[in-house]
Amino acid sequence: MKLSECNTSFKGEIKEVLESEFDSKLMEYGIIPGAELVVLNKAPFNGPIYISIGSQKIAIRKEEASFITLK
Amino acid sequence: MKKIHVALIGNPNVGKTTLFNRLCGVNQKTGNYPGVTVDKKVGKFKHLDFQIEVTDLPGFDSIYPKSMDEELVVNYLKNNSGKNHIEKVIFVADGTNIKKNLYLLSQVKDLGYDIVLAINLIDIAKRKGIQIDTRYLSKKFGIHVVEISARKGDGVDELKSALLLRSPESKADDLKYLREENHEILQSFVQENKAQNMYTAFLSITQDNTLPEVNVKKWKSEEAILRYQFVRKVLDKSIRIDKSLATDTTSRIDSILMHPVGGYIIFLGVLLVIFQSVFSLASYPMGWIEIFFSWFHDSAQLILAPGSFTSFITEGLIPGIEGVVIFVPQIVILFFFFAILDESGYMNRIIYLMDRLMQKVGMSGKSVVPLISSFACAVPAIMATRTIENKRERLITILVAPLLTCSARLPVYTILIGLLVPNTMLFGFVSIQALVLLAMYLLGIVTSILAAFIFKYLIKNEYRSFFITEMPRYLLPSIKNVFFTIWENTKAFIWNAGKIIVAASIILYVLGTNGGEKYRNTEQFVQSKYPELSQTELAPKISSYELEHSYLGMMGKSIEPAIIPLGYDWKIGIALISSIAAREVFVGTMSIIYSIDSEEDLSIMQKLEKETNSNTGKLTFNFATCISLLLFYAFSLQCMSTIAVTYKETKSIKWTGIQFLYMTILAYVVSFVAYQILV
Amino acid sequence: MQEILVYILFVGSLAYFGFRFFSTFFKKEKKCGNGNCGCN
Repeated sequence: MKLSECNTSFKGEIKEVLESEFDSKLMEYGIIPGAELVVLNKAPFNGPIYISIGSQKIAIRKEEASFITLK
Repeated sequence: MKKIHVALIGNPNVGKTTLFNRLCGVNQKTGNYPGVTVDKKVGKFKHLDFQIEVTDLPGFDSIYPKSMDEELVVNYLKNNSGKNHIEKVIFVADGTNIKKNLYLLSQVKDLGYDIVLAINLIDIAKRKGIQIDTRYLSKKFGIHVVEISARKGDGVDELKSALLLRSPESKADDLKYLREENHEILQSFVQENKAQNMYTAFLSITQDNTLPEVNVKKWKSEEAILRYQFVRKVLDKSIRIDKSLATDTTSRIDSILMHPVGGYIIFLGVLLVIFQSVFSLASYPMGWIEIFFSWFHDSAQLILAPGSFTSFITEGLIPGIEGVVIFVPQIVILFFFFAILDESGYMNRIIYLMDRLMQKVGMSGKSVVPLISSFACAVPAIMATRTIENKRERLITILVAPLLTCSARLPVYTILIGLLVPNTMLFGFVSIQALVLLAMYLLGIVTSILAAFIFKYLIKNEYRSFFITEMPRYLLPSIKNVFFTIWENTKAFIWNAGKIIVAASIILYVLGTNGGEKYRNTEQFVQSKYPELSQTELAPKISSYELEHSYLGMMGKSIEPAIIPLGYDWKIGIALISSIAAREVFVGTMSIIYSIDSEEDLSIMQKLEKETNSNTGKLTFNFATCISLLLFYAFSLQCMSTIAVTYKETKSIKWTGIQFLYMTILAYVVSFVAYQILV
Repeated sequence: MQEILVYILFVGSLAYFGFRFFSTFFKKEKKCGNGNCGCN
């Protein structure tokens, strides 16, 4: 399942970060395979997704979230 | 006394600015207009026998820059040589969320810097039950580690002392960012290119593609994975979290402030409070400033010996300076709110909520911050666009920001609206003038949205739009930081706008009181034209003839054919020409023109109300002309500083020109249509 | 005397605008890399 399809308060572990121009960028934010995340909030009108990963909280756009797959 | 040059770096929102203020106090300087921590700040302090100079660099997330702001820092760190080179680095980390900070720390360490790690917010971390083994961190990274609370000042003296110590020996620098099979490639690259160290060589390969046979993307993602493994290992051994103490206030506040409906209502409410304060609260000190300046003007006239310098002071300089100082209350209030929004962490929530809506018109959620600052002044706004990663989103934000009603337009609007509608109350409590002013603000907002929408289709997107941002935890803003933000922005505004306005009023005054042959023979000419008038009746005729034939009058006359269709005469033409320096010069120009022109001592409003148009013979400031002027000032880019800063930030004459042209053409066309319909 | 003062200021102001214009559009930026220009 892709992160972009998850509902609020979904909990899961990252399976894979698909190859893209920004994959290393995502990894720098700690979005790496094996990390656990929680979907905290989703902005309306298909806006960004607000997740908590480890002890940090990050917002990313849906487009980028579709490159992150979850177990 | 020995000098040490220290750089203050770290991720955004870790309390770097608070620490900087704590270390250097008022001994700090900033280049140019600061947004909120956009530019390089330098400060200094003394400790024991050492003079320590601190450079505060903008916060950044990674050694691979994704916005201009970050690029500045990374380039600064990569090119550390010359006489100002950095000897020590204070790396500020957030004690409540240290994982990401350690990732960046390990990258900076690999660049070969001598680092002192300052773990900030340690008081909050302890309250959350987080315990950090600083000795283990120190050993693992080969650096000194100090726990501090920049807000309270705890541990700051320890930090100062740590700067003077030699770094502890670190274990042989194993490459924790590259798989072993690639070590040989890197080593031979270092030898061939005489790179400073392994990591600069690594960056040269991955950032500038200097070795085409290397799969750069693979190297980069391996770096991320290997580093995180290292950081995680260190963290597992050095951090203990007592879960029973951990309470997550931030999540609870987030569920209210980021609510899909409530969040927007709260944001709208926040905006309303800001604008309400800017207008109603600021009107009191603005009144006092007015009273002060009229007293100043009168006493200068009394004290100084009469002559051309004195009249230049009273009619040129004092109104010019008043035009700057009168904005100070509004700017102070606006930056007070900005500082609070930024410090508290709410600004990032606004970015999150607005991202989708802003994307619809080709901008990013991060555009919201510069756009709101545009209501104060477009110059810091355009500088603040540096945080926007995507080139197109940034360019569109720069292009439309000057359409929003900046505070320099306010005095122009105030005068024109005063001429346009009477100061009466609707239903007994709503001022009609305030309603018209509100309409002008809305006009600016709507136009900027439309313009952005059009630019979205005109500008090609070269890069994929990208948006990822960290949400800091909520914090009570520190009074000291709020004070510094207000102080720096107000100082910059007064100084920068002040220089232009004072210079412009000097030039205007001289051009208005000198002229060619006709100007010099005014008295003879007017006397021979009206031989029947007495000396006192002649005076106003003389001064208005003089103005008309001064150099300033000649300039106004020369553009008159172009502006008659908009309903203006040559006197307004002068004001338009001089407003190219800055919009607020309009008011000063008007008062200079009409002070030169008339002998009576009336307020500027009274003078304008009585003024007749020399072409039509009707009142100059009639309904149609006022509307047309209002629209002209709403759309045209009459601000040298904005043009200069657009050029500086875009480095493109093309886009600077496009911005100037589209706004000027828009202003002309709209004013033309409005006047022709209304007249 | 007062006249002269005003003219000096006038020339100074013109020079100031000239300088602003020149330094924005024509001055060559110093190459970064020597560590002296900071991040401006």
